Amino acid sequence: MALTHSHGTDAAHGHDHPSGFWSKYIFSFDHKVIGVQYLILACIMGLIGAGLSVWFRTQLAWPGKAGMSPENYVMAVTMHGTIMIFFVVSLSLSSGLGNFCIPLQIGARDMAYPLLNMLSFWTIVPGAAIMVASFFVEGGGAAGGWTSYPPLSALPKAAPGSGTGQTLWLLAMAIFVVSFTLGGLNYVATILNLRARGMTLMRMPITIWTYFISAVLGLLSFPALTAAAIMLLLDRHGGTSFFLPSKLILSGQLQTNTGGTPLLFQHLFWFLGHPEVYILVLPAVGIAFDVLAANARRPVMGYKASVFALWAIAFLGMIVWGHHMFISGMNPYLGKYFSISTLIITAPFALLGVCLLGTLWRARIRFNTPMLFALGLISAVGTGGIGGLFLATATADLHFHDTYFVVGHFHLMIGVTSLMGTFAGIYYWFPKMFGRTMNETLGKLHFVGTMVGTFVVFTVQHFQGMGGMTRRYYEYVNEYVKPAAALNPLVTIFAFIAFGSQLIFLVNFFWSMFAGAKASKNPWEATTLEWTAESPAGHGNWNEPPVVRGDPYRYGEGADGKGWKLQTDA
Amino acid sequence: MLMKSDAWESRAWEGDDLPGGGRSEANRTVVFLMIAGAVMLFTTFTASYLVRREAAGWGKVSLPAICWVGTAFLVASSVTMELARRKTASARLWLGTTIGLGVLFALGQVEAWRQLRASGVTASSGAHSGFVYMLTSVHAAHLAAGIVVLVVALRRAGRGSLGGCAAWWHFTGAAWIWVAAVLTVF
Amino acid sequence: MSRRDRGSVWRFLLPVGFLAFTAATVAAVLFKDWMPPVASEHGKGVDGMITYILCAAGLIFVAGHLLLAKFIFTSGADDAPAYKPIGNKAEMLFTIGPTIFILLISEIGVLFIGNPIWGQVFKEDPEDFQIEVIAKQFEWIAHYPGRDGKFGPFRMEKYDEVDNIAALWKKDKESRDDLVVRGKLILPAGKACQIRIKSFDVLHSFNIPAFRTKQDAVPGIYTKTRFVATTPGDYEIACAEICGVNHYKMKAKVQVLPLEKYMKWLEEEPGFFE
Repeated sequence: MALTHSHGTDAAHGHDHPSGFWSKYIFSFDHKVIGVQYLILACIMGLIGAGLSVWFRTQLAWPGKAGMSPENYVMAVTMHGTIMIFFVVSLSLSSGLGNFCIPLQIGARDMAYPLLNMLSFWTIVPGAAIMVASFFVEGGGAAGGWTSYPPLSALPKAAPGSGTGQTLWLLAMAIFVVSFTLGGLNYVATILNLRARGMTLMRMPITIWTYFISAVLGLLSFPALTAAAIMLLLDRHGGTSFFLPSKLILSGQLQTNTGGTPLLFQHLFWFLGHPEVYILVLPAVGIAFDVLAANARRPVMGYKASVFALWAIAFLGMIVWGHHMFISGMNPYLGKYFSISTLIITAPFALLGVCLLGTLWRARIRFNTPMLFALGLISAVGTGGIGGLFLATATADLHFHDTYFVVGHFHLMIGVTSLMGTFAGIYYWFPKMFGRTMNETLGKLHFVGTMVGTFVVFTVQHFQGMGGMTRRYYEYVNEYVKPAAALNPLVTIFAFIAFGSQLIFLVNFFWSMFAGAKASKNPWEATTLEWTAESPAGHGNWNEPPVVRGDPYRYGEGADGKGWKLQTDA
Repeated sequence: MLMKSDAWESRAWEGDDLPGGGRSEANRTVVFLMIAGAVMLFTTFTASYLVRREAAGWGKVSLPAICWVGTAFLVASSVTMELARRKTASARLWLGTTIGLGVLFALGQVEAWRQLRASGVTASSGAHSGFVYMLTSVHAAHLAAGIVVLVVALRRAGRGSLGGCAAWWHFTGAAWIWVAAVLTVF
Repeated sequence: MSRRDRGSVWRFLLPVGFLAFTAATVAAVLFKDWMPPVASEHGKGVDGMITYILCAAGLIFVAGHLLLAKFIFTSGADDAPAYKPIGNKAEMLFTIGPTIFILLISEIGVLFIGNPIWGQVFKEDPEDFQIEVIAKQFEWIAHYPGRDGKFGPFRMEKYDEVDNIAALWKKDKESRDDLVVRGKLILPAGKACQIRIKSFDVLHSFNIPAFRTKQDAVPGIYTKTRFVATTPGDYEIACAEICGVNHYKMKAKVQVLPLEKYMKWLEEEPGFFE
């Protein structure tokens, strides 16, 4: 393994040129290569995760026609959720784009710990492999929902996937947590310590703020999941009873556990689970700010207010987890508290929304693909956030909990918003990654398909939820739900459209990598620091250290009629 | 810390005059964050402990006496760690002592587990004993990480600050007192 | 990149798309009643709360999309005069104003409309009818206390899939007159029912959509919910917490009887061990 680097002392370039294919593309220390590796891994996992959804959407629309058994169905929804959240959105948005743009946007040569960074990536690869392998063990993959609430997930007899499949699920998640935590340490250390001269905290692009805040959130909330996973593992294999109460009867047999409390797992899980939502959403919003500013040709509105709002969301995000548990049997007074505290989050979120919208005020919009995705994100985050108002209220949650209203809501937030931000980021930074631009026609086709497909799917799901359509049902056999379930074929057809457009993206991504039009150093005429590096930027990013002399969004400045200034300009 | 790049450092780019203090400050940041994360982990376990003890099948056991001997070792090791950090001249000696005391504590833990087992206390024999094994093991993992870091520091003693190592080591000591107190008092 | 963006089709296409989406969503809310017909007292309150949020959130949804469409449609060309800052004061007003507005409407909703109804669902009143619902993979079992008004205690050791599904014991005198009904919950109309929910195995959720009632069944503890069924008729329980492979089949009939009929049924039905 080529862990050692040859350090070129090429006076003309001054970059370190790693020699050989392995050290350059596989075990590279370069944050940009590692970022792209994460993106490619996320693409592969995304095909699997989204493919699962195509499979079970077919079953829902035309029951019995998808060659799917009820066992397959519960496994498919569980694994779809797990893979999409942890191995697609986290890997592409947080790990992939985060790795790529953090050092470039703050003016660092690389991450604070490049070796650790490479190890983080190569830790997650076996994790992803184990998660995929769990499909093929006896009983199939985990089938207790992505939340894997015990006792269902703790007792092998409770569900077919709760045997080896669930063990592998826990193992893969443990590996994910290790990798993600190492990545988070690196992010925070890099952002705090390696900023270029002149790059004060309040001169950082909002993207960097969001990565910083989400890394801190992750470091503080993932330990709760770690603890829960350790206890669940002990309950499964060590004979303990942390989550397993006395005298359960499964398949007619009395179990031997005593006194555990299943609700404890839910508290621990959501203590991570809710911040995780913000870990996934905030960077997408951050990227949208950057892309909006660059293509609306004006500074973001309310930079300071946005940074404040992001911190407020992060802090509040850690004390509202109970709104996932209104009807779980938790003390009803806590239900009232969590309603009130959750709705306070509407304030900073509204602030962010206003700043996103306000950035378009009196804009001079350039309608390129990244901009289209950023504009789509504004609508997605607004629509999804408004669904949150219903779910944050315990009273309304009596009707909406665990219905398709929830499904539609969280897909709009951590599915559509996050991926729109990711796509905006990929189209936007692609020239910096490969020195080429992605195909605009295919990109716009991808945008239309994604926008129409996902919005129809998830908006209609809100209405199905109003009709009381419960989630994770293999087939809708209840009478009351027939009118809502009648919409399933429509939803499925648009899900196919959404899935098909992602294939366009994949083609575009890999084709443009080798055959896209050559890009200049600063193709978007943007102002932030990464656009002062070469396209593609070499290992080490710059020849000479950049010195920052202004705010990140200097549009509308500049006396020479250009109308914008780089962050390094005087 | 993990990768030296002569070509980069010769340019004095990521030096100490950056607004964030550069690479040497990064180690401190990381140690601080790791301690914050570990505090969250032990807090979560403590909260779970307090919730679980209200329910049936608690079956409290007491820690073997050897654990308290181990506590003394850990407290002493914090003192020697502090000496190593301050007295750079004899740093290697004090570091070695610290590692030795840490290993003694770990051996004491193994003996404590053996004694518990011998008296019929296993992870599945009661809820409290489950917590005893789990919390002491999780603490032992943090301590083991500390020992590894100290051994690395010993090999390169004299170069670089021991501040980060010391902070982590003191934290594992404090975490032990925390764990032992929770397991005994509640 | 391109400097001919002023004439870009997207300047029309995007606003039209956003407006069409907004109009379709609003129309779907206004012209169709999506909720199952409500059949409980607190359910009307839940629907009231949902209507309140629909109005408040709908306002923000529509206003936001109108602004988005307008900003996109009226955006200037690349050679338009450069952006001029709007000034700190105006910016503060535009950011803080909507923030406080949305905070107020949501907190007022939850404090004055939502939480009182939430309180109704968890009220405890000794006058209420006491009924127990047992959840197990994958069926619902109704358990009534019988004439003595006391539930027989569970004897999990006595559980039998065929003969003793509710795990009661003949020798407990509270159990003798208890009623056990598999797959059907019979309820009185117009009288408050306190439901105590028990699970024998994994998590389930006691969900009667027509009542706007939903409460998880958690093994190891009793959970409680309360409602007043208003209209006699047939309804359904649908499990709302994933509980295994046949989660989707875990349903039961809810039969709401007029009070006299219900009392008569209680009188005449023989006890489990009688």
